[in-house]
Amino acid sequence: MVHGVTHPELLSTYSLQFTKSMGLIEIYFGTITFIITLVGLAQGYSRELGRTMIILVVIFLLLFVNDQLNDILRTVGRLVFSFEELDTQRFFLSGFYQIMFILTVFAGYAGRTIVFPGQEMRAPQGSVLNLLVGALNGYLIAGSLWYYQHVYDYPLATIGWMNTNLSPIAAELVNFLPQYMMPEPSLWVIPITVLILLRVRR
Amino acid sequence: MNGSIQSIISFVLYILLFAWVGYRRGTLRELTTLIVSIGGFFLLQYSQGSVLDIITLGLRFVLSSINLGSRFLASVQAGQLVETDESLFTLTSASDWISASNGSTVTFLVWAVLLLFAYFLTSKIIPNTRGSLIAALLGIINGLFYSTIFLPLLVSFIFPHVVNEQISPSSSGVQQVLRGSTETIQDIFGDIWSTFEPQQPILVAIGLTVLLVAIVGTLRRTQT
Repeated sequence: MVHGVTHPELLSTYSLQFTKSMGLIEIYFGTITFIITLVGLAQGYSRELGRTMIILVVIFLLLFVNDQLNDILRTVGRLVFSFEELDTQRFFLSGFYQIMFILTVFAGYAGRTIVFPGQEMRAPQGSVLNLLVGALNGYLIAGSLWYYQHVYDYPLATIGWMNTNLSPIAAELVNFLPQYMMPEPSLWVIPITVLILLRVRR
Repeated sequence: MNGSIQSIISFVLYILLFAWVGYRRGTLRELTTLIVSIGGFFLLQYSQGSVLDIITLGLRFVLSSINLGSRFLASVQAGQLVETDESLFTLTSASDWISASNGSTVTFLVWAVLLLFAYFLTSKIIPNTRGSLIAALLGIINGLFYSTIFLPLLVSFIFPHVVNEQISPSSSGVQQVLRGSTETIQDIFGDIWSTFEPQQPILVAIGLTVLLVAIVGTLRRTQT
């Protein structure tokens, strides 16, 4: 439950009913992936590669500062917002990382973006590549959002926005989230560096 | 598939073969074949009854001849070329080769013919394009799809004594094929993947990097 609520029983009943009506979690994140894949298809892979670079950087940064930042955030949560209980702290941490992630990714999609120079391949090869890079970005974005829910025990479920009963498919898919596939932040530097080199070289 | 190195190497060779075929044939040909093979398979599975009706109507004479032939053959086998009452009985009661009861076999045959035509026609109609990574990837997808269809049938054909719990497209529905496909792929890749357990993260990083480099490499430099 979210703390500070004056009618916890009422909210609990409401949350339970709402959660039951929610779809499966993999459909929730699968839809995000699908939408971003479509964006990739529409925008072209030379633009999408620039966004991939930004997404990789933000994943690396958030993983890199995770341990140190968590202590600071917990202290800030306690002192400023009086978040004493574990559930509330998790909600705060998860929210912070997801907002940071979304803001950075949004910056990558909005306004002037990094574009890899060069002429894209024509259809059908070009379309396949658009789909491929779009799907990769979708996986990285939806996967990261899912990761910051999963690692903090699905705080959105406490306000009834998410169904935490993982289906067998979802339980299997969790193992393939980007941050679980490459848990060491240093590994993310490899594709980032190579992409930067390729961008500069061209 | 067991976890032995031989199995993994065999599978890698199988994948490489289809990647090479895809590379040689080009993207458009492979994409067309992929759409025809996967789309055709599921379409035929869903509309098995209609397909059988169309075939029956279109090839009524041929089918009648085949069915009559099958009955005649059954009567000859039963009577062993001797004029008996039993052979006459067999001629009227023998089951047809092509009927609603074995509709799944007919649709599988139709799909196999469709697949052969897809390969043949795409080679004739679609112009040859330069080989690319995408074409090789499409070839691999084709190979993986065929493996889930043909491997169970081949195993039951070559090793009839082996109880085959995998899917049999001629006798199962779309859901079973999908389940079988995912299980087969999971078995194959799971074994390969678990072999590299300690190095998995670095392999993912290298794989991602190679993929991105390959994609960036397709961007042609513009004349300035």
